[in-house]
Amino acid sequence: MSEIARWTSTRQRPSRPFYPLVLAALVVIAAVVLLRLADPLSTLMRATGAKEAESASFLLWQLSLPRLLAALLAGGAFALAGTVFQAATRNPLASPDLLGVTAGAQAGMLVGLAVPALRPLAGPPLLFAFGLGAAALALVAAGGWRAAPLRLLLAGGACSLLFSSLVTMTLALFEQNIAGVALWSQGALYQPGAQGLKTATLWLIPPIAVLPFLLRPLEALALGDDAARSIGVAVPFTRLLAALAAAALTAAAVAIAGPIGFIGLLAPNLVRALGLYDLKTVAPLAALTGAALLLAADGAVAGTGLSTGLSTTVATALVGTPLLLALVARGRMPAPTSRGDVATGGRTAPFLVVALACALALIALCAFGLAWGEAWLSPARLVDAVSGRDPIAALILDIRAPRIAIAALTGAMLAASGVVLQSVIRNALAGPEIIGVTQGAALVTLTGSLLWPLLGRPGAFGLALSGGLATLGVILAINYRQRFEALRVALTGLALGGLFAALTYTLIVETSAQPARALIWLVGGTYGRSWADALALLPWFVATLPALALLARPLDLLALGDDAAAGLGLPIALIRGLALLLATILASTAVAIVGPIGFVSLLTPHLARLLGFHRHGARLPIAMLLGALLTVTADIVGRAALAPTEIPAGALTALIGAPYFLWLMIRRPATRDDHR
Amino acid sequence: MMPSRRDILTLIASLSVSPAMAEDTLALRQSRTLPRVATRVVALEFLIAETLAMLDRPPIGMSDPKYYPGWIGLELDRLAGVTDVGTRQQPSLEAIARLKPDLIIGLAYRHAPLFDVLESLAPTVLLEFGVGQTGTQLDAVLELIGMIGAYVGRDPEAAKIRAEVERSIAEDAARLAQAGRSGRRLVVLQELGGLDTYWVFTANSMSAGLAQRLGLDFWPKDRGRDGVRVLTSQELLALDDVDIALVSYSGPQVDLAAKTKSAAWAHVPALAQGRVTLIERNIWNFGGPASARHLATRLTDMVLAAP
Repeated sequence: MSEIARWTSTRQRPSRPFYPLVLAALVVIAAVVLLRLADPLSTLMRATGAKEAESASFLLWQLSLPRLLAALLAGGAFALAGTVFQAATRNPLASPDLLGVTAGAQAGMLVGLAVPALRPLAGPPLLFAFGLGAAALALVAAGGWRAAPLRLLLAGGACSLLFSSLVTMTLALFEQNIAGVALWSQGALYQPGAQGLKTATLWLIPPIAVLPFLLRPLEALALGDDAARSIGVAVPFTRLLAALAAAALTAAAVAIAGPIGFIGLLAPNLVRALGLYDLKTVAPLAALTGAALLLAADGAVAGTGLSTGLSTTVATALVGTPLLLALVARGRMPAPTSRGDVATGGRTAPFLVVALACALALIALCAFGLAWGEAWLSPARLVDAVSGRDPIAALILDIRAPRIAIAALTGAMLAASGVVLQSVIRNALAGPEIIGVTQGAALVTLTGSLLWPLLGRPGAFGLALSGGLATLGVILAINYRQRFEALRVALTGLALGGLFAALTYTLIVETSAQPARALIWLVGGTYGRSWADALALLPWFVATLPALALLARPLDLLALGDDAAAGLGLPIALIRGLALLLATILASTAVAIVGPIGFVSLLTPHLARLLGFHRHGARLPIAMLLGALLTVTADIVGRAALAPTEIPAGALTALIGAPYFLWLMIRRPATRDDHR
Repeated sequence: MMPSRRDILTLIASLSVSPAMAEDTLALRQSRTLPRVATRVVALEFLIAETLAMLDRPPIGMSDPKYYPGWIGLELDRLAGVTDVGTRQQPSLEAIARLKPDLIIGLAYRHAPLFDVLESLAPTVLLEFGVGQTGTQLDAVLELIGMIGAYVGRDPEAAKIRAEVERSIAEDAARLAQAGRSGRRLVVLQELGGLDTYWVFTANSMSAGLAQRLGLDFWPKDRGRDGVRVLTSQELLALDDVDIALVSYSGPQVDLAAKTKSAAWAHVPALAQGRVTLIERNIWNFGGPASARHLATRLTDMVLAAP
């Protein structure tokens, strides 16, 4: 029996006593409730006069208590949603966040605010529709219910990135109207007020009412579809109902508390880490644990008074990430082995033909990018610009050309970083943006530029590098004992990346009353970059090229497996170390110039493989050319499409890359390799 | 509880402001050579365009002109037909280049990373509102008139306009004094779109500066970053015996009654006292001298009309 089936199976393990967990959760809840209510209660007691008493009792009953209830309800709902998703997919990682449901619901919230015609549906109904849509998209892309965990994670991650980049782009483009939305999207708890809490709670009743009838058939599903069918379980119906219930739970929870779906991943896995597997035990315990976790996180936020920046989402990530990492490090997260390739095989085209075609396409695209924009620069004007006869055209050329050069350089560097990381860690998910290296580099760079506003380019490179290397170091240290197993590395990286992104956001909100100004920086882009930036980046690119060329062959050998590679006399540890260092340098230096542009390094290695290039000598250059093509396209479209308004290139790489990636997954059903 | 957050902010502020920048310095960075008299100016922020318009030297290009009428809406005649150069945060460099400006004026907090690029297009000045430990954004705005006036060769007019704005505010103060309403407590809130979620303008904001000159008692006394901070629910419920200007987040179709329908507002004494006034959507608090003059009159009228 595979490891996946084992974790849900009840019959093999005797249930352990669960009282310690229940006791711990109840103690946490009681302690936080007492601490939080002490203040309003004492105000009420000390109130003199009817008016003062009335105001104090309002504070207690309408503000303090509902916020506690909101935390408990949302935490419990997220945890239940995670439990149901995990049981229905037999995947310990399926959770509202990782399936894209939370990001989908967030997009639904934004649509409800932005489209007046949809106002009547704003709130839980719209969140439910969008959340369900995201889950459906992720499931279809992954290849259905039985998709391997890593594949589902990949599809859900792409979905999540797609929706969140849509949200970020909208927020960045409509800076004026977003202060309120930005507060919400950070998960400032208790948003709808006591009345709204009541409405959202009503939406929790149907899915919770269905749960008792769902748990038994879901438990049977753990034994496999056939076994479940043989004891009379309607398998498709059970899964459909489970997905509906989990999406409804998530939608209501997001409406109450904002996007804090992390709880849905954490709480059920914590319960299972204690050796409890019976679904009828796990569900209520996970709900209790989730409620306690969110309440504690929210209490911490209220306690510090950092109500604008350090919001509940960030606090949850701060509390939850170490717990999750501990589970990963101790090997308590059940993780089947899989490399999670999205697409293997495919037609093999001659390398030279493809490389030449890509290079020509890149040259044509760059030439087009120089000409196209708010003003069309004809070839004659371009010549005039270079020869100095047309000073305006020369200025415009001086704006467009360095951006295109930087887009091409960073695209190629990010792609190379992705190929190397994916090979070394033997993990199809190991793009620097997925394993958190990008976010780590971005966080450190931003912190540095806030502390020293006149920080020069060398300083920025140094900070980005140290941030990226430190992140990589943490990931490797945590996963050392598990031999860098793919799913664990991905999970560690996702957790760290999420935490760093949240911290970066916090930093921005704390240093300015108007976070919209810095939002654009968060998605990365080529706007306003000059020749000086391009020249600063160039040495890093040039210096890494020979290293990449030298590493291509050893990386091929590594792909044969450690033993085989060692048998051929390869110094494995040295090669691994050098390759990781190289990948981190490539990604971090790119981030230092353009910020956290996502998706390039995740997508392009898969595209190169899809074209039939498996050996690194061919895969690396093709992926780099494709990365340059994607990023230059994002740069040109972002500059010209809505001119004079700019769309950040980082949002566009996700908007172009994510749908294509999902389509790729849909078109190429899982190979045998995925189910291994 | 709150001091911890302020401590962090102060720490960041003290670290991020270089010692070379004196309290009264408005220009954070500027090109070494500026035109003696600039005639083709690009304004990258509303308050700069507004000030230029007041000086009768409207910019040839400005950021977000389509949003200006809705957010500032003053000096509109002189800003009609100004070329759109993109958003305030990411202005279109190409649009600026095509205008062939002889001066670009932006704000340090938004455009500092762009200084080199902007300077490659035209001489550039980036303004910084260092309001120091005691000043307000009103002081900075009044300084701004003379400064921008110097760039466009309108020094005498700038002095006249500054005097006129100060006189207008003084007249408002006199009206308040005459009605015996000096010393009333004033609170200015900005609606944010969420339920019972507001910014309150703090002691370094333009409103606070106006209140000082109008002879009103401004609350709160702390200094938030950018002149604002979030108002807590406890503070909202405790708003008693104050005149409250609530700056709307939505269009004129939503009135004060709709804005204050929530259960929390039912317990705000100032609302029951009829002392909450809805002000139409604007960002005058982040605007220029015309905004200051207009906001002073609006606040004065509000306090005079209150019971």
